[in-house]
Amino acid sequence: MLFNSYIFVFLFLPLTLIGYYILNHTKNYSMANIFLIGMSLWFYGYYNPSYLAVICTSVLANYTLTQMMDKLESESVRKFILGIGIFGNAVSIFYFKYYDFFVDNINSVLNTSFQLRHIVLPLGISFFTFQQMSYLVDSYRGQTKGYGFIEYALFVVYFPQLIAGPIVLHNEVIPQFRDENRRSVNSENMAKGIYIFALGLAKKVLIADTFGRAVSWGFGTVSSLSSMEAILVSISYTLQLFFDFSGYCDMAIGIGYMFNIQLPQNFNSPHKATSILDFWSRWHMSLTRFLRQYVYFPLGGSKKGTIRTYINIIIVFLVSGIWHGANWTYIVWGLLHGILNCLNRMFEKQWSKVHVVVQWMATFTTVSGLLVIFRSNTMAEAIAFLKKIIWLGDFSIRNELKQCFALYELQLIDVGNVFTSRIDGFYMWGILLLGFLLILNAPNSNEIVFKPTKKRGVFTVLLLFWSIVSLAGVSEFLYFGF
Amino acid sequence: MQEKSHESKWSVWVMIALFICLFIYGAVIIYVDPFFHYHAPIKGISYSLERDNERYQNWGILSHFSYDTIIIGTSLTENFKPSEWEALMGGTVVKTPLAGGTYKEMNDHLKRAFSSSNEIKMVIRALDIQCLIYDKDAMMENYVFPTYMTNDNLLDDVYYVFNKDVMKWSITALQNTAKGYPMTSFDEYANWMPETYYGKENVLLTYKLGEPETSERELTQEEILTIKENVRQNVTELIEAYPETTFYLFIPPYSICYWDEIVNKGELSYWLAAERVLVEELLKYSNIKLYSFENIFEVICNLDNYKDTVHYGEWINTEILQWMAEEQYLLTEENYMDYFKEMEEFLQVYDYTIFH
Repeated sequence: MLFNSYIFVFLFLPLTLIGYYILNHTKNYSMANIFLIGMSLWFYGYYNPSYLAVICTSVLANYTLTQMMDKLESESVRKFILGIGIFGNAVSIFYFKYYDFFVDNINSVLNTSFQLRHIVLPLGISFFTFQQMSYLVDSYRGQTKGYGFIEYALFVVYFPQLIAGPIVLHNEVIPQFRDENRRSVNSENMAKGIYIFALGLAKKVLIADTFGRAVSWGFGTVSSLSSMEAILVSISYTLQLFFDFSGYCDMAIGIGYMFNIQLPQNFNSPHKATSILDFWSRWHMSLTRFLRQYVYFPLGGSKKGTIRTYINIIIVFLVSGIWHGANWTYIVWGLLHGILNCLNRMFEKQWSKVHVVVQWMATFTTVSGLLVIFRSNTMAEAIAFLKKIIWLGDFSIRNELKQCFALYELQLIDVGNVFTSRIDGFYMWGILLLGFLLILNAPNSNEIVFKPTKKRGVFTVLLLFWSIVSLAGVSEFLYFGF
Repeated sequence: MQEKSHESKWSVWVMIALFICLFIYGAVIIYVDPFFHYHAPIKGISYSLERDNERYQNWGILSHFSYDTIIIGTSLTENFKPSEWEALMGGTVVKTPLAGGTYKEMNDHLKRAFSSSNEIKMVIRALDIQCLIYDKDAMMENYVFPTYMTNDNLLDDVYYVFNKDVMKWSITALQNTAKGYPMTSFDEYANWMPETYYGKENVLLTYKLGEPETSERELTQEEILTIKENVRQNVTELIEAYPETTFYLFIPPYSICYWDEIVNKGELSYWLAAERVLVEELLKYSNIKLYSFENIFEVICNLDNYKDTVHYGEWINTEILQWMAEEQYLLTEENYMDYFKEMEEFLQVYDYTIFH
């Protein structure tokens, strides 16, 4: 199920909130937990019930291993069990996510013809597998004693963060579920949750999906793009990805508030960053934190000399690239970010002397350029796209691209085409400008000081209403030859 | 404590206001109902029938309009003018074309029509040969069908009632009413004539021949079975169930360039054999009138009639209605073998090189 769907907004969320608080009201906390687990599994298996087998097996197996580690005393046996756990999780993620990629590459390098399996990737497998790996490690370190199975299962499958994070740690969530004060409706949190959810929904449905149309168009016709179109599509993708992902996280955080469970911040206005290092301290923070704690530190971090530090950084970013998907584009994207991080560290002093406007522009351009690789289906496509940008040959913009931004409701407001008749591509420029204003000026969901004012109420209703009626459209008629 | 109650009031206020907004929005859509999901058009509102919305509007047209004759088929039926048939044969005609539609999709729509309150006297239906050897349940590929428009599930009506595009068409209908425009007529509905160029140059742009195939492809037993199942489920079942209705079925005249491609692929006898299975299945029934216009060679060889290898201009649609009303080019038990012989002889020896 998606947050931005009718079934979620009209049925699932109200039902889950009411059920959860009624059960808590009767002080039946473990029933409330079980209810929340059940609803989360419905949420997860809504589109494809066969995914449930994957997630349930994963939860059961990981919990069994941690129980064994808790009970056994022998250090070497515990280490062995941890090894099995990490290996098992890695194998499962490899099987579901990378099997075809691996076989395909073997086939092309060795000229073999091993069969591809076309396995359907279970939703969010990267998120819940990483979350459980971190739990295994913490368990080995003896930091998780006393958690029951229900608590553990709830920590993994709790629906707001299940499919797209943030990647939470057990000590952030389980203590909150244990806190009895959080088991009854808190009107302050509820109001704040509704507000943040509305912001997230609008970011996803109204903004990200509008940029998304331009991106789909652009990446569907790379060979015919002009330089200007390629630049605009690339910027659109940077904005789409941010509004999409951070919008989804805001919705998760907002829903978290409704349940009185605070989820960690995942984005700290990343496009305000003035260097690559700065960007990574603000972008997808829960993943960066995971990789730092469970990959970078165990590799020695920065304690084993400069060269090892750089190698470790590059390894971390390679893991990040691979984690994002089974494609060379992700790997190259990760590798380049790793290298840029090292360069940024090497020349930090010199960089700090550059004017902040130049710093920002360089960072934004670099991040956007690398995202072209991230978004492309193949490296060849990425190179073709980037060549279009670098070529700077043709500055024409076709109507198809401008039309991607021409929302019907905006056309209704622009009575008599006052603006569109004067400024060519008015909606496109307007929405791009709005995107930049938001990423540079608006407070992020963590910085918002919520006050239940009338103005904010009207704004919330407007965002929710506009987003809800934008969830469905008439599907485009793609049968071109008719 | 006072602070808290202020916040809960805020939440309740937001929820109530949201509910009211959604209620009004849904009420407008249900009232105007631009795709006729709930009711027939309201008199005085100038609805807009759009080619792009065929799969959203046709179901409602067939469910709620008053009519006794239906014109249905692929894009080759989009330029028909129901008023011409009404002038020739009388009755009240609706046109519900489904561009790129399969036999199954047409049949589903016809079933809906027969289950409506209308008494249907005539069905005019194009049977595209291209879709003949499809699985009986095949639907158009790469298209998200709006199943919420066609099923009986009330819950998924949220996709209609809170749909931004449906509101757009509601507003368009109201705007057209205010401007004094009339509702789109069925003659205009889905008609693509104004936006089209015809002639040899355009047709030749739309096709490229591959390497000529030297061996001739044969229709397999399995394929014959597929055709029979497709025809039985999606064509003849309704013909059998409604003996009082006359079904005017026709095989549309594709251009000579379409046959050039077929001959080049070594598939001429394959497709003629497939078509013969269709014709033989249909001729078993007395409440049909089956036509083929493929052997009107002065039409199919004149590329000025076409915009690509299959799509003909609206003057051919006019002719087709005329021919059907006059029962010209009717296929019967007695003449159909001669028809296939004539087709084979002509298409086999035609000098296609003039197009190469």
